[in-house]
Amino acid sequence: MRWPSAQAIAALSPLPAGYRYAQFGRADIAPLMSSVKEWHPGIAVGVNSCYLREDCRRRFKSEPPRRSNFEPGVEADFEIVSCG
Amino acid sequence: MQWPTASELGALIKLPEGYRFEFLRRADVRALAAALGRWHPDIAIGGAICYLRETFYADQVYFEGGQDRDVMVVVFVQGQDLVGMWSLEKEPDSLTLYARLIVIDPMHRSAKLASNVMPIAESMGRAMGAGLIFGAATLKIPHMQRALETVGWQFVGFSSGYDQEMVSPGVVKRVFEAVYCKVLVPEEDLVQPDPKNLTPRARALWEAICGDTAPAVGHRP
Repeated sequence: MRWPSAQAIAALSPLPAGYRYAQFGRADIAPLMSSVKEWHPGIAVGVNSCYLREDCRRRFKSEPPRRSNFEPGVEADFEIVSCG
Repeated sequence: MQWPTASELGALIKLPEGYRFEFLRRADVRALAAALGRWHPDIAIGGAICYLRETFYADQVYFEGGQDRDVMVVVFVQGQDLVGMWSLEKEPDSLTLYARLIVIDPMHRSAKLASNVMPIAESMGRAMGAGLIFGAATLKIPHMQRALETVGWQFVGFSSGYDQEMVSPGVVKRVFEAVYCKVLVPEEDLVQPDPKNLTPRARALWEAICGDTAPAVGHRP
């Protein structure tokens, strides 16, 4: 099971004009953590709090049935925010 | 959220005469993986297949005294023989325990080893600070559903196509599984959803499954 590339995702689900998908890189970790905390303060508690830690490592192969990683408050003026 | 020590676990688990449990040792990994293939051949398909791979144990399983990891494996032993295993996974961020797998050698299933450890999972979860323990039961046979219901776990729904099973020789399909849980915190620590935030379908299902949450609230002072 391999994740699709950013280009493949873009082909599957084009974004509105002015937005693009980008491959997440290590240099993005700190800015993302800071942004996620600001966008969705509730993430500080619970299973997704790991996204506020640099050592965040999510399981996928053994992931039990649970909600999607998409979080509330993510859609405003087409500003889609999700790190899951 | 720390796994208990073997002695702490020993204080919780009382097995039938002649049986004991141990944390899995690295030296027993190969023997356990081989035994699982014999005890439960269906494991070769689906989410638990990782228990047949030695690398899974090396990379993800906690061994007593070693580095803390999220997956724990306890083995049941009679004499010098492995006769079963039990595996849990902890999710420290959500303070939950996932009951991943329990397999008993068919020759020892009459000893009811699995029934003995189900209630212990709750005690262990509470001792570790977990607020919930959950797991999935196959719909291929009713035994695990009955076992979980007997110890008071709440049936909370079906996972549609979550895992794969060999439904007939050579035919693998995705299957439904029954999802069960046991809440380990007092009722006052459990937030009930506001009905206005539930769609009609979600509200109907909530009423059917969780209308009476008492069975799910297993707090014992």
